[in-house]
Amino acid sequence: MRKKHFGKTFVASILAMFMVVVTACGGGNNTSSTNNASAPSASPSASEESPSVPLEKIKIKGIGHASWFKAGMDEVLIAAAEKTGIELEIEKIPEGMDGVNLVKARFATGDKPDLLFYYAGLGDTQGFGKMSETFVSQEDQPWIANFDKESWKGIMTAYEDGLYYGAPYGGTNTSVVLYNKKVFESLGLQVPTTMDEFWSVSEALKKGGKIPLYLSGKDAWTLQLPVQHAQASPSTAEVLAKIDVNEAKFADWTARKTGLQFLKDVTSKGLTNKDVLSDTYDNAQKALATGEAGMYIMATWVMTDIASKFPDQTADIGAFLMPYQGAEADKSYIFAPNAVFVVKGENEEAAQKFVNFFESLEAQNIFFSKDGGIPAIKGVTETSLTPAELEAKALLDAGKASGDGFSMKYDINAAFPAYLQDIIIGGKTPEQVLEAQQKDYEKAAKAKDDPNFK
Amino acid sequence: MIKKMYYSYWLLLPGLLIFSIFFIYPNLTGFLYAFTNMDESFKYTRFVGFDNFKSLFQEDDQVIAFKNTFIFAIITTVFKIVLGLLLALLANAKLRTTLFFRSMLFFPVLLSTLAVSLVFSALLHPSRGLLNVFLETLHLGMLTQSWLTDPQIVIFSVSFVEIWKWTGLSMILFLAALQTIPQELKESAMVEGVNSWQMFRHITLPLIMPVVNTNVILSVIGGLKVFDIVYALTGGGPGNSSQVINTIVFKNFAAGRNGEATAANVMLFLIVLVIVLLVNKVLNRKVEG
Repeated sequence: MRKKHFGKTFVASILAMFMVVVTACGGGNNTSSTNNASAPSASPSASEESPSVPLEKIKIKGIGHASWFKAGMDEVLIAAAEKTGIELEIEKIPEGMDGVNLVKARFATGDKPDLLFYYAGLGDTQGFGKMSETFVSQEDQPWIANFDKESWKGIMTAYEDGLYYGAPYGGTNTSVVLYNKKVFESLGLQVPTTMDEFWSVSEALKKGGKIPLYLSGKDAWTLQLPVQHAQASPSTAEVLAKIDVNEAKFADWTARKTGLQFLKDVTSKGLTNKDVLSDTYDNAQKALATGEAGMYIMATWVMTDIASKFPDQTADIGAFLMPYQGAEADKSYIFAPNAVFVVKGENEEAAQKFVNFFESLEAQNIFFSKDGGIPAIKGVTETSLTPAELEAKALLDAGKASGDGFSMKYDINAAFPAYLQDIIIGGKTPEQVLEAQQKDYEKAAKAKDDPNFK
Repeated sequence: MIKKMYYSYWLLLPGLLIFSIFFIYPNLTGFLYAFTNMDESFKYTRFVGFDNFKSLFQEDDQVIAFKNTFIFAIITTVFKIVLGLLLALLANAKLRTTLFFRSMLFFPVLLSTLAVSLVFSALLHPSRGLLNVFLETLHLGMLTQSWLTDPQIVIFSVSFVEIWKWTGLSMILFLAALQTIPQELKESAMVEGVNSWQMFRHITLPLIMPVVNTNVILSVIGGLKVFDIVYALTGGGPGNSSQVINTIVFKNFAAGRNGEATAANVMLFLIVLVIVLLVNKVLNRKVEG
């Protein structure tokens, strides 16, 4: 009898506990959303209107490539917590396509952050859903008054509706050949202005015991830079517009083919480091700064890292344009600033408040006094550009830049770095890479029932 | 008369409910999605028949993934079983260092895959890695390889790391089985004058056969479902030369081709199911025989 009672009591207790746990889980969500909805500090002007009232702390989450968050952002985060009460916790994800794949998978499964730090110019077909449904439009936000909307239209705006969903994060960058001036001087070399000169300089560097051109192929995304640099030509925009509507093929993209062929040639001529596919972005910085390597094709953002790791060697590094075409026809591939997107959700108000603070002159000055890049927000007075960045900026100022804004309707770039590794190992020719990309593009277009690809 | 006490079946309900929501329902819908053109938003779907499955076998990169998965599963299973058994026999011996030996061999199992991958990336670096430096020191330079960047050998290098990491688990399972063999049986066999090989062949092996079965099944399933070690060590590269089915699933999923990713997953499920059923049947026959 006693046993029977015990059994019933036991089962009832377990069920009650189960219900409590389930109710508690559900209740947690309600509480959280209520708190956020009524949080006074979530209003953009709350802290400014009543500075004497202690700020309510709000924690929000962001996600982005690990290398995007350096000393400048660290200081902005501290300032944001002090001035707005918003504590941004950043999840740092791997660089390149590994990180891109990861973040897209997170969005696809509904596991979204409050802020997404990502490349600018996202569109509806790039793996994050419809822009207007996923992100908060920045068109009416106060920071945009201090930003040159016209210059970045088509580059930082969404492909479909032409609206700004991303606010600029970091500065403008551009692809260049970074070279060690001391190494060039010691071997009596001049900056090459034609491809013939480039090969001669490379051979001279090799003879001088240096690695002529460093390729950091273990971080496969870095292999894109030599190719993107070759694509910096008005012909790219023309051919991309035709590929989008199936009036041209990837094989017609001669500028990309030039870049792919260059990767193949420089590897087969033995003018790179021996272990291209085992060497990293980090190894490349060290090799260039210490003079182990003569040249490295990269965007100017790498100078922030070099300046922090090798402050004494930073001034030894210069920048020039890769002379793919020669005759002063070459341009550098310009990269729009990265962007920070406010994700729609229960914390969007606080996330937007953080972005508004980040884009303020106060925060921008903090950021750019530590980190490199050319600011996109007007009136920033504190910058820390290195000599190489200043040389690259001079190229931009002289109109020798083209590139970003070469956006395509469908994003098939996830597979591109692996194709570039294929070129290095001889698994694919440049023609085969272009053919593979054509297949990828057609597949993506057909998946969306694109009438041009029926 | 002994009265058996049973709990009511309805007590299964909470567990079954959770299992249905988080396992049965996603699996069933997975089969459905494999035949649709579902994109990254999970909203846009269209029935495409077997197109997703066909696509898996039309691209070289994806065919490589299937080939690599089988190579990986076979190599790792064979080595984990053979080495695991040898090490278990060694660890079962009464030596002063037995406890240390067991702990040391099991230790890699406890390590994070990511940490192991980082360490082996450094060890297997073609010019700075300890392995090649060691070979050079021994004047065996002709044996040095680009372990993780040569497309011809990369899948074998990854398999080696997997074997290093998981052989300890096979060893522990075999060791547990070896310790259940009655001492009297061994002693009487020794009185009969059997040698070590005969003892192993006719007494030890038949008695631990159920554990061999379990170990093989676990290794085959683990090998076919491999993802983490490949992704962390090579990311499927160089190029696509070390892709396996699960990295293809991840790649397609991340590219927004959810239909194709689900189709690859369904294929993997069917492959695992068929192979495991076959292996189980063969091994069970041996156990019963």
